[in-house]
Amino acid sequence: MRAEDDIQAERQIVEALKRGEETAFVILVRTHQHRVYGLCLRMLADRQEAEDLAQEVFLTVFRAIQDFREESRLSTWLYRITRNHCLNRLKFLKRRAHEKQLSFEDARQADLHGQAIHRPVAAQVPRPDRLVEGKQIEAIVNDQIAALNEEHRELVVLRDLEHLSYEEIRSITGLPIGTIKSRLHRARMDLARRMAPFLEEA
Amino acid sequence: MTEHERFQAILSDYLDGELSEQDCDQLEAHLAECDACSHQLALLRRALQVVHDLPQVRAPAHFASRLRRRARRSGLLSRRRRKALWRMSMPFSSTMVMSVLLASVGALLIVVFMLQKQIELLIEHQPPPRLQVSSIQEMEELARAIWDCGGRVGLAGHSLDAASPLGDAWELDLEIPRTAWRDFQLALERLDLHAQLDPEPPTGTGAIHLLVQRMPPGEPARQPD
Repeated sequence: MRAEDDIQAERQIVEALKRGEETAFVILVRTHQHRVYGLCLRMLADRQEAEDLAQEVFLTVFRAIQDFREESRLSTWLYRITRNHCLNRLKFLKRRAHEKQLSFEDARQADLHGQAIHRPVAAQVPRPDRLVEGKQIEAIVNDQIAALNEEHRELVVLRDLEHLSYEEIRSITGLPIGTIKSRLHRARMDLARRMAPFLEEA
Repeated sequence: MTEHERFQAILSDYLDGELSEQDCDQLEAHLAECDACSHQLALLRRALQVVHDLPQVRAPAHFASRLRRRARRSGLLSRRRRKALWRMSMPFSSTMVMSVLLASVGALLIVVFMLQKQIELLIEHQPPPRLQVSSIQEMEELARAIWDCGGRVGLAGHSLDAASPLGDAWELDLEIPRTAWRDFQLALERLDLHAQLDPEPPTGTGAIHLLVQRMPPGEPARQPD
């Protein structure tokens, strides 16, 4: 009954959005802002980038709402847009980081004394001897999720943090359910191994 | 894939409750014998428990208001809002709406113009000020003053009631050019006719009309109404 009510409410929101009602836009944002922002933050691991991207997602939704054919839930469509935005932004950030790295390498080569002015930026892996309690375990887990590769990270986020069904994940990612399950298992095992030292501490 | 690898691969499904009863039984039997798989399952269970316990990320407090500003700045909200209002409230073409609007404004202007005319006519038809004289001589002097100012003298067109205290009183209609109003007042002072007239000419356009009533001899001059 509740699910039916949700679907009905969602349909009304979609209709109002298609009519261009500002109120509907506000409701959409208030309802989904935390999840959209959360997904962006988990994927990008940068608050500023995440906020900017989450706003882009909502603006895209508002621009593209006329094309939404309601074959899936609004929330699923919203997640799909968020996921695509995240992947595109990650590509852009990687390219930019790579270009920066190249220019930095050039500068290093130009240094006559070859002083060790460049150190690879290691992933901020916390030491196991840190106190692993409360907020700190939370920060550690977030760091380890951020350290997963993108394919693994998105599945862990969608399944274990956003608690979406396999069917919803299939609709968002376009992957077959078998692939989702096997990849998710590898992602979880990867994460568990990374977390193992801290889990034993805790 | 060995039997051991197959069981390792379905540990996640087992934790998610996605395994069939048969697969579940087989895995549990394997776990009872395989330390490596049991250890992996324990690690996985503990890691997922921590991940599931993470608090939900919350968007910054200003997120919605900033987004709204951004949407407005990009013209997204206001433009669509107006379009939506047009669509919702007026199922007509914008040309039709504009025509109706222009016609309404035109009609309003005509009504205002007619009202203005009516008001002017009302002002024009206000009863003219009255003057009273007590003798034919005074009347002649008054008429001369009118002529000096370039005005005209004529019968007002009706007689007073015979039962009035004025008896056989009659009226004259004096027409005075608007520009000569002040000169006419000076002439009245010279003639010692104390008419209580406004220093400013009566409102309206065109010549000013005055009614002059003759008083029977001996009667004190009445103040104008």
